[in-house]
Amino acid sequence: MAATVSISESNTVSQTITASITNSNMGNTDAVNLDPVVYPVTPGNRTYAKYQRFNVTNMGGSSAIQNLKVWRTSALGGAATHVTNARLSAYAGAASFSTPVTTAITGADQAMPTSVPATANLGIGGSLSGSLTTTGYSDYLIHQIISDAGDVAGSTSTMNYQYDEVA
Amino acid sequence: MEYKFLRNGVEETVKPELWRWEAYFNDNTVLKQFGDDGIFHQVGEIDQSKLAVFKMVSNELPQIYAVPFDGSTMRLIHKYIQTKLNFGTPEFREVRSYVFGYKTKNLPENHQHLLIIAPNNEAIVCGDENIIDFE
Repeated sequence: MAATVSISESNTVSQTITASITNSNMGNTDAVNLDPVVYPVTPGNRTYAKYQRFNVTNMGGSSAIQNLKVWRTSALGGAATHVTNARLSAYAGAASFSTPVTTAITGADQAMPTSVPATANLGIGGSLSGSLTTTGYSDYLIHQIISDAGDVAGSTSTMNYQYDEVA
Repeated sequence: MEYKFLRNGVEETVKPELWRWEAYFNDNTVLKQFGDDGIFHQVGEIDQSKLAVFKMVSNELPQIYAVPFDGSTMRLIHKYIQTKLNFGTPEFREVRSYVFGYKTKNLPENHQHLLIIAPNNEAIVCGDENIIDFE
């Protein structure tokens, strides 16, 4: 049986954790599974940052979960950029949770990959070579979209998540 | 059917995989990931010094993939790559690839020979699992 791994998200000042989120929609509110039509971002502003983690709730007979990769597909609209703390090298260790904001976050300054990364770009236990051998969480994936004043509505970009499972 | 597995003395149940490994040893014994006795085994239980053939088989598909093995020169590789594609969209799908093969001892770490059973159950021979485009 496959291990049970979902994506969780943390929100609000009290770090409300939602397990098994159903989307990674981003907008002008700090909320999980938000409706971006209801909470659109004013062109030129940033979305609220997302703080997400891989959440292993059942090892399913496997011995380790490792080699975490995250990337985006489809182009962002206009001149928007998508920034993250995920990176292939010079990983800064496990990011701490902070109340999500619409301003720049230290360390979340890398461009989100647009194809599957060659190696892990999100860590476990502060290391890209880390692994989970029992239930638990990965490091936080922080990501945020920076819109441009000239952007218009209409583009959709989606997140992809991948891990290795050693049986 | 569910299989039993003991992790640190605690019994767990494991559901079968579409593709499962079987290890054939020089002494004519066999270890199956999903044993005929209902016991689940991890790949770490394989004694690679005695391993002669590593097979991937399926109860649902006719293909069998076999890797002749020499424990004196090879180190076994077996893992799954699990991918959540197009997360949160109507096109969302979760796909699983089965990666197995070997690294050659005394050669650079990236010198490996892999067979990958892709989500469409086609087999790909390569040296780097990162060449797979899951789109």
